[in-house]
Amino acid sequence: MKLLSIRLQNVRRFTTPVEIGGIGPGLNVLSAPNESGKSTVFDALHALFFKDRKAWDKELRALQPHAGGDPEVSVTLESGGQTYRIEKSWTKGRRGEIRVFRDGHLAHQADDAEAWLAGLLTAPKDGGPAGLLWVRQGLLGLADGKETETARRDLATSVTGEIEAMTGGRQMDDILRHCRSELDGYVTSRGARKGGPLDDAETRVATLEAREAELRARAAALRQDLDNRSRLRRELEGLNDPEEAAERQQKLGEAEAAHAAALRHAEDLDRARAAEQSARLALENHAAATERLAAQLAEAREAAAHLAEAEQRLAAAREVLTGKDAAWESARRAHEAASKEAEAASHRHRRALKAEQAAQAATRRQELEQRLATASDRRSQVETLAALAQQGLSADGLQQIEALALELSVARKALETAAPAVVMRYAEGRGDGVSLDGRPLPDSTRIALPEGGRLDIAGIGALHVHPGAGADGSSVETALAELDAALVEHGLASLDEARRSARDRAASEVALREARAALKLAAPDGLEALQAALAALPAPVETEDGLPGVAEAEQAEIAARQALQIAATALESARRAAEEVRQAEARASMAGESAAARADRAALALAGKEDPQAALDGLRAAHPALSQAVEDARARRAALETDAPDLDAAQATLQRLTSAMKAAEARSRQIENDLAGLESRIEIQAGEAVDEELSEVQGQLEAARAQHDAVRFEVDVLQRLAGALERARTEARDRYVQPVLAELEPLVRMIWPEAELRFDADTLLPSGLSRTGTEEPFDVLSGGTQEQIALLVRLAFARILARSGTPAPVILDDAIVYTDDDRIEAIFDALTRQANDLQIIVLSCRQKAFRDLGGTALAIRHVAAG
Amino acid sequence: MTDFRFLHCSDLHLGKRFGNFPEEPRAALAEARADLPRRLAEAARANGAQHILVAGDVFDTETPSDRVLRQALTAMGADPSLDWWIIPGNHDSLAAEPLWQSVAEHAPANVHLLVRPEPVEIAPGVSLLPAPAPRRFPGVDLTVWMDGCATPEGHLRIGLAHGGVLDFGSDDGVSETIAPDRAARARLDYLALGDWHGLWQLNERTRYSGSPEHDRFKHEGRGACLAVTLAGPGALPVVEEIPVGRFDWRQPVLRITPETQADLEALLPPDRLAWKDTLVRLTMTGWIRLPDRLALMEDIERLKPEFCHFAVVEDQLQTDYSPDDLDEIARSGALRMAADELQQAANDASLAQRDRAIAEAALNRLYGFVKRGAA
Repeated sequence: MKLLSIRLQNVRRFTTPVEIGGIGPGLNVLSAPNESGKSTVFDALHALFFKDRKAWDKELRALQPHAGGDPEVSVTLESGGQTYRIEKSWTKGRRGEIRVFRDGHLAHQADDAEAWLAGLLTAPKDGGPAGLLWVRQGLLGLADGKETETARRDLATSVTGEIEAMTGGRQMDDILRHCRSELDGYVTSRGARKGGPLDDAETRVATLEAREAELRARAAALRQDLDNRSRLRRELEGLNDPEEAAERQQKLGEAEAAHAAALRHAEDLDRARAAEQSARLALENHAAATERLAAQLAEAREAAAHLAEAEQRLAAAREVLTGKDAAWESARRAHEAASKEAEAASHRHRRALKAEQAAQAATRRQELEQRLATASDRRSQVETLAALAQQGLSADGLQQIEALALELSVARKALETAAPAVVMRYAEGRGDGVSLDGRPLPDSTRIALPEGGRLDIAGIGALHVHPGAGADGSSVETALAELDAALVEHGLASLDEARRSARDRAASEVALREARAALKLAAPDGLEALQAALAALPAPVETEDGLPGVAEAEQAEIAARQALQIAATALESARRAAEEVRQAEARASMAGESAAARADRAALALAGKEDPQAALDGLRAAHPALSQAVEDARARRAALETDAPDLDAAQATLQRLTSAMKAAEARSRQIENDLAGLESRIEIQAGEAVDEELSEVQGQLEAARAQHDAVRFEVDVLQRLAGALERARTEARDRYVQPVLAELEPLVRMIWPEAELRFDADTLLPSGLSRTGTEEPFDVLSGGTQEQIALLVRLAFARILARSGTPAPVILDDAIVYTDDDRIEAIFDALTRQANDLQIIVLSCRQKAFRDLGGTALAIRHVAAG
Repeated sequence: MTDFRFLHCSDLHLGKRFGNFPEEPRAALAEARADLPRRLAEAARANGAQHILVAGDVFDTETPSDRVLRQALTAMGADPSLDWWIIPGNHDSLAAEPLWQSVAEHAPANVHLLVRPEPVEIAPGVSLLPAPAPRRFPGVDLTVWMDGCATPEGHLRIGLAHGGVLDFGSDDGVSETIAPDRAARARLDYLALGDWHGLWQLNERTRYSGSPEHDRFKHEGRGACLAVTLAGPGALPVVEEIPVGRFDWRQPVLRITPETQADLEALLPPDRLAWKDTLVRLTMTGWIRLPDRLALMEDIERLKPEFCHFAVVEDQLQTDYSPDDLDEIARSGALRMAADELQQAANDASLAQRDRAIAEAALNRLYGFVKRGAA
């Protein structure tokens, strides 16, 4: 947006129309003396943009001329490539008008026009100042007597009107202060503020809850007491009822009688049980005596029979024993004879074996003697061959001589190679004619001449060949000398002799190895071993005539030993048979003794009884009577048991009724005591109107809870609001501060080349100026410096707006009155710099100082009405 | 037989302290309640009734203070020509022995306490069949016995009982509620009931008189008692409602839309002088624009002191924020961002209702701060 012209009518001193026209796109200066109406223009312009047509407040009333009349302001401006004219007026009756013309045609009016105008001034959505930037002296807040912080805030308010829009500024501070102040009344960082409404509400709820609980308990206790009293009274009435008491007494008497009868019956029963027991005992004793006597009689008879039988068995056993002993003796004699025969057969067998071993030793001696003779011959042969094998040249000697002969041959070959040589190639048809040292020189054959030579060429003469120094025969001589020395060492004349000598020695060595193998075969362990084996053979013995062969003697011994075994078995059988019979005889003897003792004991048991059988018969006759006595006693006891009353039950009934009687009496006393206590408590509690108070407290508690909820809600609302405001302000700062600082930096350097402007991160206010390393807090800066900082900040905002695509006019009304003439030129430079892409309108009374500012000069001109 | 005319009332709840109200209305309400016996006696005299039948709950609790009890008995005995026939209700049942012992000890001769379910001839030819509550929750229909109760031939039969009739589920006498056809079953000429605090005609012979002085907004208007006239056995009762309550209880609903002007005063009693004895619980519903809400709450605050009690329920009233409203807070910048955030939260259906309400209230508060700062 750019302003093109401003027109005022009925605004303070301008009762007739005045106009400021020709406002250019860059820097514009309206420089005029005081009281010329510059501030009026400023205020009128401000009202046009920010005062609703239906408003009529102090500021608008201040615009009204003394003579009356409705203030009218109109502005021509350019926005978005189109030209608009805004006409606005205000009336005391709040019936002002507004019209907006676009390119001369009415585009908006009334509320629609206000909305359009508001849209023109609305800040860009991504943040930034609104569409107009105002600075005037009065808003710089440099009036005397203000607190520093307030002055700074006013200054910031002045220079950062748009920061206010963005961060809320002073309004935000006021609201947050209000909000926090109200919150402080409720809470601290640690919870509800002591004595505050929230604390009061919480305390009241807690107090009432405790009171309600107490009253509820008391009411419940009272109710319980009343219930208890009713119950106890009913119980006491029952206990004290005469009919019930008589009934209890009657039941007790009956129980006592029943208990006595049961006791008597129990005694009768005990006696009947004792009588039955006694009868049973008598019967059992009688039966035992009868049985014992019968048994003694039977035993005496049986013992006598056993004694006779035992004696018979003993006699028979003794007879058999005699026969068995005779058979045993016969068998023993047969065994002795067989034993002797076996010993004789064994002796003959041993002698036959000894004769056979002697014959085998004689055969062995003969064989060893033959092998010893052969071995002796072979050992002599070996000794002869061993002597021969030591004669002649050894293989190593031959190898040494052969090596020296080879070296000689090599030396000779080398000498021949190095010596002068001749090769004769005869011409065609001439196969001779040249001789070497007299011998014809063959065709195409290389002839070495280590010693030189003489070539006779037929028909020509002789050609002497001298070896000169090229052929050295010393190697050949050395090799020959070494070979001769070796041959002499072994006593040999030539290499061939050496080879023959070596061959003969090798043949002797082969014959020696064969002779040694033959000796080993004849005497593997040596001649001494053969001689030892021969010496070890037994001496020859004389042969015994009439001896059987070994096999025959062996068979005879086996047969004799088998006969002996049979005789031994027969002897053992006879012995065992005799022993068994002897034991049977002993047992028969013992049985006889036992039977005799038993017969003695039986006789002793019956001693004293003249007629045992008669006595036994008498006992058996008395048994039925005793059995009947037992049956009679049992029947009496059973009858008493069947009719017996339950003594335990009777006793329990009696005990219960006696106890109940005593308990009823005790209970009556207890109830009377309890009732007395209850009566006392009820009287006290009932007189205190507990329920009434409980009802009241419950109502109060309900109200207190509602009040607490309301207070809590209020706290939550304030905290929510404070949180939202703080978040919004932080976000706005983050979004806004950095661009402002970036814009501000070059401007600051234009005024103070070495300085840097500091901003308070929290308040966004200029906090100081850093010049040549010295930090100067903002509040100690001069008024002029503060004013200049304010102006620069404003210009920075304007640049941000311009860059956002919505350039805003900057209007400065005597904004730099405290700036000295030296500094003001730097300010002018800054203004000029910013005016490159901004519209700046400077209103000033310092005509002389602002003469150098340049820009478009503006003037207030009276114009015709209409 | 000449007409028999009596006053039917119940649920005086003497001694009720209204603890849930602020101090001033609480005292006034308690005072009005204490004055009920005098006003009932006055109503009886004014309507030619010699007998006042109280269908239970004379006292609010089983242990009223001596002050409440003695002053009530004194007021009842002030006119000996009137007979008070009283049965215990669930609030002051017979289980409250000290209470009734004290009543028996201090009651004047014209105050008759009926503690047994047996007929009483309260006037020549008039048998009253009382059903006193033996305890707070008797568990049975206490009027069953009336069906088989014989009264002299030609006598009027009037039942007097306390309890609900809303549960009609049982005929076997186990139900605690009173059979709705008890009057017919027991051949009663009139059954005077108590317990329900509002006036209610169950059938042509059975009525609840309601509390003569209301005690909650559930029953609007002023309390009353009934003047009942019986011309003779079998004749239908002639019943007249006699207002005796001092306080007028009202709970109007103010329905608001952003397009309509909230006419608060149209919902209030036209007689401004009666406001001091009026208790109001105003429920506001619908949507209201932010400035209108501010203005409405200011109006309410202005009117409140003229009433005995004035409560506002505004949790059903939501604020309709227009862009202009938010512009009035700020067109842009941090304040506007905060306002936008709060508005968004207030309209965010995914948030808990309380969180939305807090956000809405915070936005309203922000608006108020801005407006107050601008004023």
